[in-house]
Amino acid sequence: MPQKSKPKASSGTDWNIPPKPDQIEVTLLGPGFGEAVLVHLGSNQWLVVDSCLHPDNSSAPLRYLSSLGVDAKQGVVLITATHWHGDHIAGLAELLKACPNAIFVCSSAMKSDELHAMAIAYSRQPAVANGTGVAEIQEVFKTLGASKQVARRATPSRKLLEIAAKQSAHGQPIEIFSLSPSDEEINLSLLNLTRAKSRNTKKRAVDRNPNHFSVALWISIGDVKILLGADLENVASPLSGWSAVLNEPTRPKGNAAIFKVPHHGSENGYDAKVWEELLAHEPHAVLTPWTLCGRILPQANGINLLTSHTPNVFMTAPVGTPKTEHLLHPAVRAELRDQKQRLKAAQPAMGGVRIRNGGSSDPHQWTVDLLPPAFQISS
Amino acid sequence: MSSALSLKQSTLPALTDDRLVQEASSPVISNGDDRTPGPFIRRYLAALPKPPISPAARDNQASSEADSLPVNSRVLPKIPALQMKLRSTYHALQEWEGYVQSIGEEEFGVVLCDLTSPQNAKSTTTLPISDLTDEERQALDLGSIFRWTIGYERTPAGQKKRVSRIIFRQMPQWTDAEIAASEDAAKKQTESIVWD
Repeated sequence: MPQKSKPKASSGTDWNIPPKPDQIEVTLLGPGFGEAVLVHLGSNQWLVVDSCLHPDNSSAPLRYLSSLGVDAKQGVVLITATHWHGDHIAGLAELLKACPNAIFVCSSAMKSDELHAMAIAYSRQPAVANGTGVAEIQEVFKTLGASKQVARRATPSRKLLEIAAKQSAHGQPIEIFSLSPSDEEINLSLLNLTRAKSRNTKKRAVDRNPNHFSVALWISIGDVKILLGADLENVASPLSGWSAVLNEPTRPKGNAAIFKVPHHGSENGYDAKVWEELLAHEPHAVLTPWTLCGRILPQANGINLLTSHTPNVFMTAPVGTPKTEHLLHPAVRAELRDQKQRLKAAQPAMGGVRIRNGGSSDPHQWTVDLLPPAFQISS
Repeated sequence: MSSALSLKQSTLPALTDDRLVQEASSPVISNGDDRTPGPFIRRYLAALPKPPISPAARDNQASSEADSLPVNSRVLPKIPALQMKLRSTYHALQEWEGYVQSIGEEEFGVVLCDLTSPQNAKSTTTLPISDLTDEERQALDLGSIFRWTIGYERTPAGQKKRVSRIIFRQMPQWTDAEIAASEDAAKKQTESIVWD
C-alpha cells in the first residue's frame, strides 16, 4: 500500500486538536527523560506505551492527553511497560494511577519473586540524592497491588487486547499483540538481575538488562498495521531479539505502515528482515534520540540504514543535550575546562511526532505533525 | 595539633586536628572574642583535670562560680593564630552527589545531582579513572555513590589553588536479615498483584 505524508511543523494550537473518533493516531514523545508512545485506537480508546517526563517533571503522556481534552481515566485502555530502563519508565506510576481502568502489560519477568526482592532491597537503602534507581518500579508494583488492575504478561504472539469493530467509529476490529520477549529472554533477564546480596556494599540500582528483553507490540486496526519496536535489538541468538520475532510461526501477519524504530535508531536495533517482512513500502518511521554519559544515539550509520528504506523518517529532537556548565561558579567552570570535562544535561529537550490517518474514509492517508524541536530526517 | 591539648589525648575523647579546627573555626561568636564551644569540645573540656589552685588563690575567689557554670558556657581556649595557619583549609564552591552509570577502560560515566544548587537539573559526564586514588578505584563499581567537590584549598604557606575531589561514599552492607526481609516482602508483593 503506497504511503503518503504531509509533514508540517505544528504550532501549539494544532497540537491540541484531538483526533476524530474514526481517526487512528500514533504519537511519539521524547526524549525529555525517555520516550512514550500514544496510540489512538478509535473512539477515544488509547494505548500508552512507556512513560517519560516532560521537562517540568510531569508525566509527558498524561500532559499530552490533557492537552487534547482526553480524560485519561476513561480513555486509556492499555498501558505497556516495554522494559525497565530508566528512559522508558519515568512517570509510569503516575500514569498508572491516573488510568485505573487500564490493563497493564509487562514482561513475564516482572512476576518473579527475585525481581520484586531486588526492587524492595534497593528501595530500602539509605537516602541518596540521585534516588535508589528502583523507586518507580516499586511504586508501580504497589499501585498494581492496591488498585487490583490486571497485570498482563507479554509473551510472543500473545493477544493482549481485542476490541470489536462495532465499538469504534471507524468500524474496524482492533487487536494488539505482544511480539516479545521470548522465554529465553525472560530467563536471561532474571539471570542478569542486579541482586542485593548479603555482605555486599549497598549501591544505587543501575540498568543492566540488555534491550532485547523488551516488549515489542503489533497493532492491527482493520488493515492498518502498526509496529512499535520498543528497544528490541538484533542479537546472534535465533531465540532472542528480532530473530526470535521473525522466526515465530504464530506471529500476526501484515505489513506495518507506522514503525516506532527500536532502540533510538541504533545499528543493533536494525534488522533488514524486519523491513522486508514486517513493514510496508516506505513506512513512516519515528524515533527518539538518546544520550547518556557521552554516548549518543542514533549515529550516522543508523540514520543511513533507516533512510535507505524510507524517506519518511522523523525524530522527536536533535541528538545531544545542552551543556550545563554555564550554571556553575566561574572557578568551577575553569576547573572543568582545565580537566577537559564537559557537563551535559541528563534531560534533553522534548519534542513530538504525531501521525494521523484520514479516518474511515481514507485510512491509508497519513498526515504528520511535528512538535518542535522534532524534525524530518532527510536522506 | 595544639601541644597543650595533646598532652591528655590518650585519656580523652579522640581529638583530631580536623575536628578541633572544624569546631574552633565555626563557633557562635556571641561577644567579641567569646566562643561557644561545640559539643565535641564541651566533652573534651569536661574531661580535663582541674588545674591545681593554691589555698591563697582559693581564698581570693569569691565563690566557685567557674566550676558551677555549665560546661558549654566556658570560654574555649584560643588556638594560636600560628597553629591555625599550619593547616590547609578547603572551601567547596560546588558539590555534586553522583552515581556510576557505566565503566569503560579509561573513563567512567556518571549521573550527577547538584547539591549546591538543587534546583538545577541532573547532569552527566565521564570522569577519568586515572584521577582516582587506589582506594577509590577499589570502590568504583556500577551504582557506586560518590561526592564530587570543586573548590579552593589554601595551603599552610598561604597558597590558594583550585582542587577537585572525588570521594566514594562508604555505604553499609546488606545483612542476611535485610535480604531475608526483602524476600518475604517480595512474596507478599507479587501475591498482591492480579497477574494474567
